[in-house]
Amino acid sequence: MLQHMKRNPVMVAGGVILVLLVLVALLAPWLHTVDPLDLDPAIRLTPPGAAHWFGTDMYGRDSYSRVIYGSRISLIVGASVALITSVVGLLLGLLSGYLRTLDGVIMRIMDGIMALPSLLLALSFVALANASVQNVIIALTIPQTPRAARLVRGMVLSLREEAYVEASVALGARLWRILLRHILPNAMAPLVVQASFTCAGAILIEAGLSFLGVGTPPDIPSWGNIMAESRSYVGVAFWLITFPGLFLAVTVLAINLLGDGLRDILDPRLSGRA
Amino acid sequence: MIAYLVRRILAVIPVMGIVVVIVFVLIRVSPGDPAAIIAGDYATPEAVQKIRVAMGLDKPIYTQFWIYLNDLAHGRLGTSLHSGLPVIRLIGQRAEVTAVLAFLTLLFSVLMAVPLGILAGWKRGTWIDQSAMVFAVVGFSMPTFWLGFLLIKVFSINLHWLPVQGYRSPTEGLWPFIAHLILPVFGLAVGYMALLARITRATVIDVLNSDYIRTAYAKGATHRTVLFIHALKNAAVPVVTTVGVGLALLLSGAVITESVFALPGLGRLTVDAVLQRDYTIIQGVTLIFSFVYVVINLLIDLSYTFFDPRIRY
Repeated sequence: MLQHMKRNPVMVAGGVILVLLVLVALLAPWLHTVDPLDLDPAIRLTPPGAAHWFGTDMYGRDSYSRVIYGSRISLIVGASVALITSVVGLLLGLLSGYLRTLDGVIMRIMDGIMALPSLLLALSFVALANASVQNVIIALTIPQTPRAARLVRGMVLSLREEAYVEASVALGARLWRILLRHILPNAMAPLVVQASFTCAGAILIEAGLSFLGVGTPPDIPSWGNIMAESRSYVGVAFWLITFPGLFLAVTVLAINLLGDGLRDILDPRLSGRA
Repeated sequence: MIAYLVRRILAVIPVMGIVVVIVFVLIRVSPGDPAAIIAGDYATPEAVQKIRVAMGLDKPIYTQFWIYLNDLAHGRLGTSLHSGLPVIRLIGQRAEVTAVLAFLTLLFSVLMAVPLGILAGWKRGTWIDQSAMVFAVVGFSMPTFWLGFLLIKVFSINLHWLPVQGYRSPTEGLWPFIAHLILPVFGLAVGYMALLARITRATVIDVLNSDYIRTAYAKGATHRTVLFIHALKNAAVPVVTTVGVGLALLLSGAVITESVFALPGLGRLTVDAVLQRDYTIIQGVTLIFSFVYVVINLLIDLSYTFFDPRIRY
């Protein structure tokens, strides 16, 4: 592992940035922040300076504190969507790949979901749901699950033909034992890689939904929300867009770099190719 | 070939059927009563019930689905709950902008990203390759709307080179039309270009490592001949596939780009509909987008025989 890390400094950089961001999200109250909802009209639209590192917004709220607290939403949404998608996708993929009777039904539903652009699918869901972080997570999980399910199914289809799986079937092992003991460990690596890309995608779409005004409720500072509120001030207070956008881009970049690196390690066939 | 064509076209029907079911079900399983939400916060229970009856939501779910299917079969996507206009007409009015935006982005991305990917794959390991891949990974991580604002700030507000927002039809003059689209197309294209460049590079590297390329070199073919005569056509299939699959990314991005640049397209229509809880419009647009996506991917599937004569149906 250490050798892999030495050979892939870009992945390590991605990992370090991600760990730093997680620390920032966890330690937000101790990072020289003030209440992100505190209004002070006297100092509205102050440019970045010593008192307010990232400036203040149109209500005089401290932009730095809002961006720091905003990282919590992005990371929670990204991690939750990646986790739920992987678990549900794993379950569907295992069943679909191993039980031929279910395969057709599950995969056709997955095909249908994949034919819907993710953002529109998420939009249709949140259109009638009340704005909440939970609903955003559900809305993002639905379009991402088919990718994980397809990936696991593909792995299962090839693994079930392996001699050791056939041997354990011949020995009378139960279905769940075969799936969990023999197939699952082998399908894990590609799934972890997929989860990292799902996490990055979910963070981007959450920000997109919030930017469109239908994601995280407006009273919770999230990077998408902050940029949505500030859009009318692009000409006069560009810092309001710059900082949350920069944090968002760097977070997604860090996760993508980590995912690329993990793929190179876990799937050496692809190493250095894409 | 004709048998395959028919089979492949018929295979679209179940996928679209499932899309219709998902779009129908999604609205009904969303946490929230559509009638109550449409009626607003201050509506009386009687008013909510009235809306429920008017929308047919009091009927059993299978009756609702049957009515929905029947409407679709007659080309009716329902009427907007907000304006009362037929959804199909609203979509028709807005389709031009989105179609133009998507088509130009697709064209620009393919023209830029495929040569870049080929060059990167051909010159693997050089600074050209490394810069192209840095662009690819950064471009893929860039939030579309943030990039949009950066472009507006630099090229419209600071430099005054291009208009900030809005759309001009080609009938109003070619330059205004192009000027209003340069930034949106570029902003939307970056993510798609990154994806295409990566796949093109990977495919070119794969093809260049194959045996027949070695044979071509052994026969004394030059680098140029190998690349242009032997390698590229075989690299086309995965690249063309990615063009199709990435279209979902592009259509999602178009919704956000239209919002940033105030383009009156289908994306704006959808976002406005979401904010007004006008779910018949959302259903309609989602169906149309999915239909376009499925049809384009069908055409791409059929194009494989052109790029790779080994693929015969």
